[in-house]
Amino acid sequence: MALLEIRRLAVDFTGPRRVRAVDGVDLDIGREECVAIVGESGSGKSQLLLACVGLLAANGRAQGSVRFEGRELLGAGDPAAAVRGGGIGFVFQDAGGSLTPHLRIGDQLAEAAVAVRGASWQSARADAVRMLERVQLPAAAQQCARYPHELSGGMRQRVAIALALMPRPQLLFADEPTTALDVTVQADVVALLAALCRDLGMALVLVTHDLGVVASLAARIAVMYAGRIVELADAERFLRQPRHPYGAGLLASVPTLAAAAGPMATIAGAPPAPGTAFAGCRFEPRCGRAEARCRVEDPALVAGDGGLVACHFPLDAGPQP
Amino acid sequence: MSALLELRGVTVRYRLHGARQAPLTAVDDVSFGLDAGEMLGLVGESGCGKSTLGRAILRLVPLASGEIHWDGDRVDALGAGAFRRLRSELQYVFQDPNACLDPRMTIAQSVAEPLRALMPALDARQRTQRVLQLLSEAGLQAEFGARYPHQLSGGQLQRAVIARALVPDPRFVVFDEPVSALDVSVQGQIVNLLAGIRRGRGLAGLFISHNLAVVASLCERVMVMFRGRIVETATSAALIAAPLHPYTRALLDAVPSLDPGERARALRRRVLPVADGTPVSAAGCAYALRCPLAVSRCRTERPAPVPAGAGREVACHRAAEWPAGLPAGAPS
Repeated sequence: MALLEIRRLAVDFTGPRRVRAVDGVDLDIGREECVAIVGESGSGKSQLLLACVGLLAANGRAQGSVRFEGRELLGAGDPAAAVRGGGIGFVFQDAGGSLTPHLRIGDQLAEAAVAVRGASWQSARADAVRMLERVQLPAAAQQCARYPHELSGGMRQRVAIALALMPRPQLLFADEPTTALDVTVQADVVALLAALCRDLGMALVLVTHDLGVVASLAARIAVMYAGRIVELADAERFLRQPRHPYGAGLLASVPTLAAAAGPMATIAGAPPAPGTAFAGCRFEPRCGRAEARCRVEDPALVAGDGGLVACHFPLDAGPQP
Repeated sequence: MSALLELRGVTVRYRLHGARQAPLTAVDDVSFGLDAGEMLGLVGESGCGKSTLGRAILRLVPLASGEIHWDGDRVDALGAGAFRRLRSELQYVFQDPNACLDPRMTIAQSVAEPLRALMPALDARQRTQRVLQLLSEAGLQAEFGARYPHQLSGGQLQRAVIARALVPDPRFVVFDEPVSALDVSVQGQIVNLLAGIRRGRGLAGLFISHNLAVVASLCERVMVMFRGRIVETATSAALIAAPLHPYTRALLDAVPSLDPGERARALRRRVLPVADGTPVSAAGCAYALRCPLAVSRCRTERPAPVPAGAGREVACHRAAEWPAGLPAGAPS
């Protein structure tokens, strides 16, 4: 049994018009596995994570099934509350937003251990220092007495990671954890997350629009487009030979030093507006490989060549290693 | 040939809260020249002073010392009226396009607004025509003119902001992280758009970014900035192939690689502790505290930018020890 099992998950938002942000996603996360979910803004990747832990906005509704260690997290009465900030930790893009501005760093971290694990304040404070050391914050003991505004963005993100780790989660959701950070710091935070997963035996789901961030970290990569997973594959296979034209486009558009001179690769057009109705493939209007069939027939996510792909005309799998 | 834009010893200081604190030197003795039609890159981490430098050129922040020369005029010494006439030649594009457009105005109204002020002779029909022409130059179809900012995606908004910056036919534009807030898939569209506009108009500019790979695709020459100082200037190709400053090497190492073969190396990457914000002694090298190659001289004596080959400068005491550049994966 996988640690987290997502089945036919759909997320709808009501309002002036109904918007389906996530449309029938199946995904398993194994123990100690690191999975990356990549896609452009509005592809539904953040809403997918928020739905799993019951943090959708008030006008959002999740359908389907999400099981964590066999326990259903969706349904009436907010069953996800039992794992939120406990078995499942969450790191957001804006680290400052997950820290309380008027509490000292050490107290905030300790509070998490006291509230979730029932630790004593004394042991929780000692734990907080150890966790700050673990996320490589210099002078961890002194930092405990400081307030969030006294730290730089990179330091705040490390504190937010430490905060999410205080209850010793088995699964960490990280939503664009490096987007607000400098490139040099980004690489450090990615390396830190990889080290933490290894050392703590924790599974990680990393959501990002930047494949460069996850290339070195994830074991599997799920590509989302317009609310659906369109490709799911081992990271090495995907990076070597993506099969969905959208996955290939995302990969090509990561700026790299090897391809630095000359024009940058792009994906033509823009993602569909929220609430768009689809007949055929959702990527068809932007796809260079689209044919008549793509306009009328919605491709299913089917297995092939060490992964899943939802495309009538996938790119060649290439030579097998 | 003298440069179109020339900065000499430009220094900008910010007074901090609390009277007893020393002012923060955001831009520290920066000198460079820029030729007509040249797009110069400026890279560095946040807080290093790159935006302040861009703003100083447009007089959006006052100089503590130094001179800025633009096409024969000394920008920093001009009177308000004289500078106002010059102002239409110099434009600025900010990082967050959302914050640059009035949410209650349509895109066409936002683009037309500076047109009213700068070209009052145009009648309504000519103005509409000019707006459509600018939107099309920025890659937006006419229909987008009637829409409001919230109806556009991030990439479309940035196109609208670029169209508006082009209203007075500027000769120089500061692009301050124009793609950092955008999806990776859209970043390339905007960078390629800027490359096209630059070619078409012979536009000069300063392109600010924290991503060297993005800068290199647009600019022939790049300056690397650290804590207010320019530590290295070189062509993009030379900078990537053979960085001379240890900080440039660190920036290059931070650009993610997509090569599956390099995954193992990246995972083993040492996690560097964050810089602890210790103030830098004005006497030493700004990078000395983080530099694994620093020697005692680096902490006491400030390295001046010295020529290192054609069109190249580096401010590092030890740069002469590695004339072929610092190799990847070297301690940096």
